[in-house]
Amino acid sequence: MPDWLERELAHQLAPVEAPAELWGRVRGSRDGPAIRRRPGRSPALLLAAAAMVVATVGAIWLFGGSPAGAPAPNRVSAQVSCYTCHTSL
Amino acid sequence: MVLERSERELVEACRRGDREGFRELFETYRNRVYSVALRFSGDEASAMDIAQDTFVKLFSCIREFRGEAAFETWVYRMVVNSCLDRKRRDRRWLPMADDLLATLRAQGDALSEMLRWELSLRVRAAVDRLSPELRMAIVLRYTEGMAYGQIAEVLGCSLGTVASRLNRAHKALEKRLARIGKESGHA
Repeated sequence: MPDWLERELAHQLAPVEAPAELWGRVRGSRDGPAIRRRPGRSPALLLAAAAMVVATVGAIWLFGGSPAGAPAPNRVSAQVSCYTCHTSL
Repeated sequence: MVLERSERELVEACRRGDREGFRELFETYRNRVYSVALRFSGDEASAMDIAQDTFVKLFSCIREFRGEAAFETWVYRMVVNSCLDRKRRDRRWLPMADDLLATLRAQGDALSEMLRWELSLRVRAAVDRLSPELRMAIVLRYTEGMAYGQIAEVLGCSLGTVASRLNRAHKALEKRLARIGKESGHA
């Protein structure tokens, strides 16, 4: 790199003095909340979420019971083990 | 031990929440932090934001400083991170050199003074156009006068990477500024 560019970089990028108001800004930020809080969720959103949970639980309770003909899970597994043990080829 | 005794005591005072300690630490580093911020960002408003952000982070994280590196290096890392974070957020800082050059060209007299101005503005604009990594290496080298080893420590990379970044930056600057250097009688 040529000398003139080296000199020019040193001159143009020379350190500077910080403005006096910087301390005021730093102090202001420190005294205020240092970490910005996330905005709280709105009550409407919370109500909608609660309604969704109630509706889902209700739907499961109303329609989610086992069909009349379907065997309970423990009976199915009992049958499976029974066939596994006693079926001869 | 890496820290000087007085500075270590100052850091300890800040850890205890001593306001005078914070002020003293701020006074010790304010010009260095602001200079890096200004030379990297190229404008005073951004530099103020970066410097403010750096000191707020520094004071809130000072308990995490374990003295494994020099405190000065830790401060420089903070300002480098603030500069790069802001650069990522803002995407683009417009160098104002071209507009100013157009104005200066229109005035038409004091040719050597104008060329001097032009050179100065061109250098700043050329630095502004370097990629953030190359620009930060150049700023640490020329604004803070750091040796390659210290730049490597601050940037968290190898000496070879620093040498390569500075070499690429120098070549890019030389290429961009060759014409204006000849015109102003430097080259």
